[in-house]
Amino acid sequence: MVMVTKNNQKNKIYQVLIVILVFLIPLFIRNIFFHHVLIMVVLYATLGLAWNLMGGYLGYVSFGHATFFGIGAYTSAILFRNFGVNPWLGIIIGAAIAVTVASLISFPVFGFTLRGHYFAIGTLALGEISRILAENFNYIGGARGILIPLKASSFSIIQFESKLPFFYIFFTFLLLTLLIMNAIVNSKMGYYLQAIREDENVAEALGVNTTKYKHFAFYISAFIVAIVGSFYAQYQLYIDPNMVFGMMISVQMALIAILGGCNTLIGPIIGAMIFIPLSEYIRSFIGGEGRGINLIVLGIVVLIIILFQPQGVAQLIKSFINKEGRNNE
Amino acid sequence: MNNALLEVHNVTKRFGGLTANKDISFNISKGQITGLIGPNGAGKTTLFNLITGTAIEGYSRLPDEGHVIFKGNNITGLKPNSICKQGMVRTFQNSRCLDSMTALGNVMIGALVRTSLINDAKKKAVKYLETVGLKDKRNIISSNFTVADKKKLEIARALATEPELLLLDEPMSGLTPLELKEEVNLIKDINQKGITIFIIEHVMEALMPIADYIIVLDSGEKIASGTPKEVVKNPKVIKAYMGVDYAIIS
Repeated sequence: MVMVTKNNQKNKIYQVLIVILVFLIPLFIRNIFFHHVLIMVVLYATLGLAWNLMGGYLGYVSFGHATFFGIGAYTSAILFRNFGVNPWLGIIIGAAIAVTVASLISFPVFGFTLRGHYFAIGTLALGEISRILAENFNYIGGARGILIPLKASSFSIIQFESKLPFFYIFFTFLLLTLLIMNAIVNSKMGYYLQAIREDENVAEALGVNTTKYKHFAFYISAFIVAIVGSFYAQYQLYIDPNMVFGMMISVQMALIAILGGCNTLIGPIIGAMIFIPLSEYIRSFIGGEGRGINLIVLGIVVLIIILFQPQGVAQLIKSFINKEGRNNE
Repeated sequence: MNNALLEVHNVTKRFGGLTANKDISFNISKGQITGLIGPNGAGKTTLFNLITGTAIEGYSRLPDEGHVIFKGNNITGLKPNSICKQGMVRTFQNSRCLDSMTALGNVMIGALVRTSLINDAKKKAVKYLETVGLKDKRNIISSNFTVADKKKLEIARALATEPELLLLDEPMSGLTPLELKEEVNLIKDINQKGITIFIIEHVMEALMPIADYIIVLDSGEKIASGTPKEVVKNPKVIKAYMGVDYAIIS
């Protein structure tokens, strides 16, 4: 037991050191594109974590989470542009609307116990429906999208001249999400979600209110994804339906979590650290001429991981740490 | 006073043209071990599903007719999780473990019905794993367990929900004679701690000595009930199990 607490303390120190290091990195490497990549990594890591609660822990693979991302992005953007509502408030309203939409969907979906492949197909349809709706909804700019009006640089409206403040806000939110997920995973709910994933009938027989916990997981996931959507809109200052409701958003969230390592907290973060820089740097390196080549490279990396490390990259690191631990004993 | 913990009244379940359970009624008395026997396809597991509200693939989980009373309350149509909270829990026929979880994790899921604290659940889970003799294997992923250990794990998991009535679906099938003996002793021990047991079993020689009361199903109908001695002498039961010829000889 003494060993364990000692290791825990050591781990905590490492964790704090890593966080401090990440805070300092952008101050030393002052390259705007690098900062952009860091921001995208942080945003996608948060998305992956939120998706992982559903797709990883609960085992309900969703390909429609872009719906909530888009709702978050559009709500705060429209509220700010058309009504002058503070984006921080807009973020909360967007997340609330996303949860409302999630509940409208989850009642029929979980009520008729849509599972496995059917849940994946159902959510895929959901994502596409919301994209098409947004494209044909003129009030929110239709397929042309909307520009968020540029105001003075200020924390209160989440607009900055430099990329650094964005990074720090998004990174703080990532840490917050990580803390929330850690609390959930190590609580009764975390155990229950895993039991539902393994065998819903057994979980139900052992007193797990499976319907309730599925709803909870869906709402929490939608809430966080919507907040990231709002952040993304504030950061880009321009959004269109394909950018925020597009299938690529849903798929990337899922890929990052699955290849990084489902059912782990570190997995989605590692996934984002591998995929986003790869994708962004290849895209910038090849430029407009080679559109899609970054996706080909990504596809190859996905294949390699699926073939050689199907449980995700996080598993590699885990087994390495375990080996280290055993050597130390 | 009414000593029945569970009352099943005129339960009928049809799967399309097939009647899996036809007008079945019986009581289960507190503190006893009641056995449910019958040939394959007699409707034993369906009856378990109806009593515990378990989902049935492709059909409604509700009985078409009849109702189930547990501790004086009508529980027909309740979801398994609320039935479990009231003190009735079941195991499954082919040992369904929560595969990617450890033995400890499996049992903790059961224990978490009565507590929200992870540490409490962990302590309880270790206690119940000790009861079934799996304490040393608690950190092993349950999919790696042998059939016998999986069955024990399922019982520990069910016990962790602190039931008054434990429904066991074929807890002895597929065990070696030695494992069988252990399992029978375990079931007897659990019963002696005051938990009423309702058990589906094919292994007659193991069930007969420990059961207080036996119910026999055949083709969805209850054809006999009584003490083990009465039941084995019943010509209907012999016919159902051994065939017509054997029934005439005896």
